[in-house]
Amino acid sequence: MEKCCRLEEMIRKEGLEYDVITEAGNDELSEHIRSCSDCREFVSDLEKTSDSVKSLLKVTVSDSFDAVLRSRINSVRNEQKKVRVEAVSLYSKVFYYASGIAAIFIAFFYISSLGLFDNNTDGPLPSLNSEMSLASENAVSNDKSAIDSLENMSKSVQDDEDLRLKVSTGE
Amino acid sequence: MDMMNLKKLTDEELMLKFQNGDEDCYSELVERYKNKLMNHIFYYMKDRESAEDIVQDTFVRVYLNKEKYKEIAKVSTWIYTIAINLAKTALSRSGKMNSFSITGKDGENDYEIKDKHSSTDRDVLKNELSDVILSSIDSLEEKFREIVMLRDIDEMSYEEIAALLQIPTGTVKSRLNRARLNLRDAIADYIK
Ligand SMILES: [Zn+2]
Repeated sequence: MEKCCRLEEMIRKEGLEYDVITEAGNDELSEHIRSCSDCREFVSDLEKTSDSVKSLLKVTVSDSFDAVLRSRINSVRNEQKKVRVEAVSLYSKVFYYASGIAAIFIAFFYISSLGLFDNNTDGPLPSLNSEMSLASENAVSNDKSAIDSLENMSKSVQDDEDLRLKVSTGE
Repeated sequence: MDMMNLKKLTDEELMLKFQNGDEDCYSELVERYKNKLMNHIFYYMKDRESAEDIVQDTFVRVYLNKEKYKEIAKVSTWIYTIAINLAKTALSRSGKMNSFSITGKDGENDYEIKDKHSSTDRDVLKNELSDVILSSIDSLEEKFREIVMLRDIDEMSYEEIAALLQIPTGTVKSRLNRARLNLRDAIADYIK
């Protein structure tokens, strides 16, 4: 009696759309497999083949894998943090410089407005002179506090620079 | 969230939580996939050290590109695609591009330069049968080889394989049967 190759031929043509080892179809072919010893033996051969492939030694990662990955992730994370801090620091730097410049302008206009007042001292009322000298004394002290606040501002810019350096060096 | 609860989450749930900043979920994904990927990529690279480098790079990319993962795809498909692309790039850069490559959508996989296990980590080949099986897998047509590897070595589900290779599940199964038939012919003397 000739060997039955019905299932084998079907598979060779890639026409069997279910995994013959683990699944059964509801078709006439499945009925045939159940009753044909040749086809059942063929399925069993495929199963043994699959088992030998599965038995190939599994390769696993080395023991240091997690530690190496963690340190790589950490350095990536620090890199990202640095970029973020630099962006923030650039923003605040611009803000500080802009407010510094604005303060210089305000101080300048304030001083020049006092100066304008000074130029008009040829008025007919000499009693105003004492007031005027008082005002110009005030102007000097205002001027001084303007300089102080400018110094403070440049100091805070410096502080910000220090902070940025500290963060970027990871302190 | 404690580790016990993380184990109960699906890959996709873990990925979503990781996208929202939960780094424990990232660690859990690494735990789930590191050995699977290592095993798979090893059979591409045929060398332990470079396979492990690829797996490392894969997880760094997953970390950096978490926003790029979209829920429509399975996490396994996404991670394997990253790993396989890295492996292919590494192989072509080193001029070692062998026949273990995954089918690209655009037929870019037409290169079939056979690699004769030149730099194989021989410690993996425990015995003669392993050697025979490996070279039989090696000699399979690519569309069969990738499916045998994904199913029997990586233990992926039919659906996962279908998603990764972008072919219908029925085709996965018909090719799997056919691949085993070819392998049976090659190792028949050993399994009787
Ligand atoms: Zn039969």
